[in-house]
Amino acid sequence: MLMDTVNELVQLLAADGRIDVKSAACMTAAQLTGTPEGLSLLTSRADILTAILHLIRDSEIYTSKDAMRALINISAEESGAEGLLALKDVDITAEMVKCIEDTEYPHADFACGILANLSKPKHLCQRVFDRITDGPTKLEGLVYILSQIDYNKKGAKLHLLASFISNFSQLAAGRRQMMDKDGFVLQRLLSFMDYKESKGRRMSIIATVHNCCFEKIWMLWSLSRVYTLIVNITEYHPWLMGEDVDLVPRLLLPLAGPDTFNEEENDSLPFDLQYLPDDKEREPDPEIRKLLLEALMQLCITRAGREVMRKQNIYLILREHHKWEEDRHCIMLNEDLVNLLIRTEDEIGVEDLSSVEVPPDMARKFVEHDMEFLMTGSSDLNSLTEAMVEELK
Amino acid sequence: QHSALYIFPRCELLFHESKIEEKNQWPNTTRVTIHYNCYTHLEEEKYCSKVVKTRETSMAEEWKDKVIQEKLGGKKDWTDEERAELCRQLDEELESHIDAMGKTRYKGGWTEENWKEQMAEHPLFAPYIQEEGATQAEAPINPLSEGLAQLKFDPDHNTPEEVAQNYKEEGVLQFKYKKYRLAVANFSEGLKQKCSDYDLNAQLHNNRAAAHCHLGNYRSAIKDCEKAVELKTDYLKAVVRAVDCATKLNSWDEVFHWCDRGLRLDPTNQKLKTDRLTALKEKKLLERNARKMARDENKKATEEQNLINAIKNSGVQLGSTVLKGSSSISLSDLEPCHPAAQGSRVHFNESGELVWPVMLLYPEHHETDIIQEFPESDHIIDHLEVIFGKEAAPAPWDTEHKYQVNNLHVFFEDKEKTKLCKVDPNQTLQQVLRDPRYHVLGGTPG
Repeated sequence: MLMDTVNELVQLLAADGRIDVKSAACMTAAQLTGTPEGLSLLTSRADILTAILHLIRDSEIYTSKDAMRALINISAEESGAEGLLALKDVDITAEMVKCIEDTEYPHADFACGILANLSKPKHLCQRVFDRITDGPTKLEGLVYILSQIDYNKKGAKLHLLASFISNFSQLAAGRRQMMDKDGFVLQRLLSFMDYKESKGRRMSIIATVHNCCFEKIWMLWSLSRVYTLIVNITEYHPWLMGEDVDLVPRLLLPLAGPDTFNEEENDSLPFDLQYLPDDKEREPDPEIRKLLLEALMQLCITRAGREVMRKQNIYLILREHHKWEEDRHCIMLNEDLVNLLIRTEDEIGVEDLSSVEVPPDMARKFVEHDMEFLMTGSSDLNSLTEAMVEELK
Repeated sequence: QHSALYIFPRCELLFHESKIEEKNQWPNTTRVTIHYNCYTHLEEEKYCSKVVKTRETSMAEEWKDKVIQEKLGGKKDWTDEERAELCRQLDEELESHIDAMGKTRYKGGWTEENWKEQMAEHPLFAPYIQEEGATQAEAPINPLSEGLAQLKFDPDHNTPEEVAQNYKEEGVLQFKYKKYRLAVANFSEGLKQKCSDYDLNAQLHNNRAAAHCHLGNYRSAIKDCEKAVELKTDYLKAVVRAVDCATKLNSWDEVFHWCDRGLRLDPTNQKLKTDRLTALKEKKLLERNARKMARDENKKATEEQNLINAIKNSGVQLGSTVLKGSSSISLSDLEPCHPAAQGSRVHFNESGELVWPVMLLYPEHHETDIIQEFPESDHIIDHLEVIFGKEAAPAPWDTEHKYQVNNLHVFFEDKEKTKLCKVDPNQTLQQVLRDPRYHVLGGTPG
């Protein structure tokens, strides 16, 4: 009985049917996706999914809108996403990209959302990424569209496109493509790091940048037949901190407040951070501040990176930020960062901090200590750090 | 409008001639004469004979009919011999006619003396002698060049694409000779044709942009680049040119915009990336300088405000020569009017006390003295010691040396009551200034 109804629905969804019939059928489908049972029912039927996909460009705007909303719900579930990507007759990724590229398509925001949903689970992300790279509009094209405000003439803001792109940054290949020195992808994203109009876009962009800072390359060094060293190199950090990208001031600007320094101190800072106006606001969202600080921490891993940061005298900004900051986690990160910058290289003693092996029991202690700090706010970090340094020596 | 366009000699001209021949037109006698004059001296036989020959043939036609009418009374049926005979007769008559036209030496040619000038003027040989700044109106209208120009750019004889192409080539030539204004004019003419070749129009816009660049019209150049890219979306050259023009204009936002467009077409383009970085740096510098200036101004404003507040709060009353209803005082009210006191306006010293420029008036002799820096906490008598004390030389007007410290009476004028009030020299300036009867005028206590 149910199967018959479902079959009937498929027929009613046909793209060449009557307008009112299609509209009603589409609305029904959308409503079905609201319930878990309805959703799983629809997911199991490839023909329904295909039919819905064909309706996204229907001339009747409410039909197409319902079709898109249905797809959003379906793609939000992992099983639904699997089902959509498995469709043979139509490539959902390509269809969605076409919707985004079309400056006149009204539901482009939904298209971005669908793609973001599809790429969220890691194993599906690779598939989506491959399809995009094979298609005509690659990552680069999408970033270019994102970087144009008012690209879509029908009011779609395309903020979720940023989320989609940031999902790619969970893949190493995605990160590498973004940071390709010959190309021009990452730099386009940087200008949105303080985009006030949309917290979503800002968060996604900063998350992308944050992920990119973690990118390393594993290289095999064969010293002899017996010993091979696996060394990981943070190859991108010099480029990221260099003038092509100049990431450090951009990461700090949201953390900086109104100017409180004298002229000499100001001149020692990068241009972006000098003489900030009295109405400068810091980044309001603590999650985003956390991401910024973590990214800065990552850039501090190498000695070269630390030296660059010391030269840019960002300690001043961090000091002021510490006075203002209220979120425990952010304070902790700030203190860690300042810790690294204040100590001299002799004290730190290690070129690349990520190569330091932390014994598991120490690691556990650190985690416990962090938790304690977050809960109570007491800071006994220094003694613990001393202890660790002693142990490692 | 074609008059100022010089044309380089090209073989095509001959073809244009032959075109005219084919159409069997002799548009006007002048033109024919021009061709005669133009080419007879170059290669007399070749051109002369060619022109004459065709003239011959058409003239021969006319004559034939004429002779037929005259001599033969309209007879139409001929035998071959009669025909041959008639032809021979006609030929002879023609020959004798031409001989009769005279074997005069061609007079209109160039002489030993004037051949250089003539050559300079002649469109076939003339290099571009026109000065850069000369406008089209000033250019000598050479009928030769006018004629040739008409040939080349005549829309009746050419398709719009051809005309546009010709204008483009013309403009490119002008450009090579650095005649940028003429180049612009040519490209504009080419664009006026509105031919349907988008690529050609795009090139015309791009070329015109280049010419504008050299003239320094960067804004017009950018407009042309915009059009060029509209017509041909992958026109990287035009984009790069726009970037350069925008850089010259220091319009950094535009540089970003164009760099982004260019990098979309060619993401590996190093020049565009470098340009963008430069623009970024300049813009940051600009912003930072603006912020710094704003901060300095703010600081200055607050300092001034503090000073005014301090004066107000200390109880010193400021009078002014102009009656003002407002209670707010601005810093300009405190500027001293006295020339000697210029530049030493009341201010705070290091210990935070007010320092005033004070004027001493000597009504007896109508003289004044200025003490430029008189801290409030100083006693009046200390300063008088310095001026009139034992060590100090007497003032030039103090001939009788009457003004000595012990003899001095110090007063201030109570403006309202027009009275002189005695001042105890052992007091500090501060105490005097706070006397309710006392008004400070012109920022200078007197």
